[in-house]
Amino acid sequence: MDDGSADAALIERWKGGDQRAAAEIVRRHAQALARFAASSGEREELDELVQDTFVRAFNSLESFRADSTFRTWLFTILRRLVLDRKRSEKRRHNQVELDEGHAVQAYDALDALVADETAVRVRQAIERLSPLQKEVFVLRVTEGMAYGEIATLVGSTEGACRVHYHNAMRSVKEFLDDA
Amino acid sequence: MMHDCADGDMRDLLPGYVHGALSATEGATVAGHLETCADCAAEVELIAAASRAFPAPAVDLGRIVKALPAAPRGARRGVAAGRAWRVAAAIGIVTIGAFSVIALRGYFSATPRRTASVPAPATGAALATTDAPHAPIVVDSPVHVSSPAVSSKPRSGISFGGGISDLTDDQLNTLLGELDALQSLPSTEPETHLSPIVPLADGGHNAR
Repeated sequence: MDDGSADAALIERWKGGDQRAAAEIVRRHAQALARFAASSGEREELDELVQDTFVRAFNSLESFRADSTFRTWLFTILRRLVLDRKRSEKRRHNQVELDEGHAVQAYDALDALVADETAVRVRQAIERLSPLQKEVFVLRVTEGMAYGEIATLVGSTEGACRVHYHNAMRSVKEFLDDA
Repeated sequence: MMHDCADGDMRDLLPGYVHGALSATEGATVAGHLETCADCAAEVELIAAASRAFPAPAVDLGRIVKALPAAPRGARRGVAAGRAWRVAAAIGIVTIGAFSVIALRGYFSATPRRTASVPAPATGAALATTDAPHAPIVVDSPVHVSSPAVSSKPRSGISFGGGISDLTDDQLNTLLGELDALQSLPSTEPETHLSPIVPLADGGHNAR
């Protein structure tokens, strides 16, 4: 059974009254969602973000039509929450949204978590990518997502995502070569 | 200096290879390619390092699960829905049946009753048939009906009371012929209301 089918079976079990199926769904996706949120620049209240994602997903599960995988749907909800939070923070603090120039500073806090030097350098290279390039690249290398799945998530096309990924890979290689 | 492999399709498989998401065939193909392609091997190392560069932060799974809405108890609701459907179906069947009975009764009460007049033999006797419950067949017969009314149970054919042993052979033959004639009439639904067999005081001459 692939991941999509496993999720679909768990959803049916939950709809049938099995609360343990919900716990299994959370166990399968919470870590990946938290990682995606962190890679998007969220540092605080990651638990709340991931929790809000699941609550929203389960509250509107009846509207989930399986046009995409359940995982893609979860990531899409989380991405919207992250964007909403960034917008509200921008209004509140009159801050400029993270862009290529600011990204490096924002991810310094991750250095302590990354054990090996190579990974730190790769992450620094990734921080220099454009926001969309970075999003596509991170989803591809950390979650192994297919281009089609990423395209659904970021609201782009499969071909465009493929181009973003390969351009990002080239940029990362160049950064590492120059370092 | 890292370079890109010229095989773009192969490079597209590398993230899936790192995450073990490829089929066995694809995995074997990539593994074979990596033995001869230093560029792709370096890219695999880079992808693995990039994955490590974004470790998954710890999250409280129990807290998230507690915050989720309760399961909709769809299974129990399904049972209740099934029971409701069965009750609705039963009510529907009973209703249709009731309307059918009412309609049939209305039809037969509106349909003119068939009455058979049988040539009168010697003396009269009133015979009630299920076909003509309200209009007794009048037979001139010396039969004396001992019972003032027939049973209310539905019957088929001719019923009458009295001592049949009182009839003569000619009268019996006549009566049997009349019975044959009556049996050739089309039958209808049996009805519970049968006209009583009324003994004729005047021998049946003024029965109608």
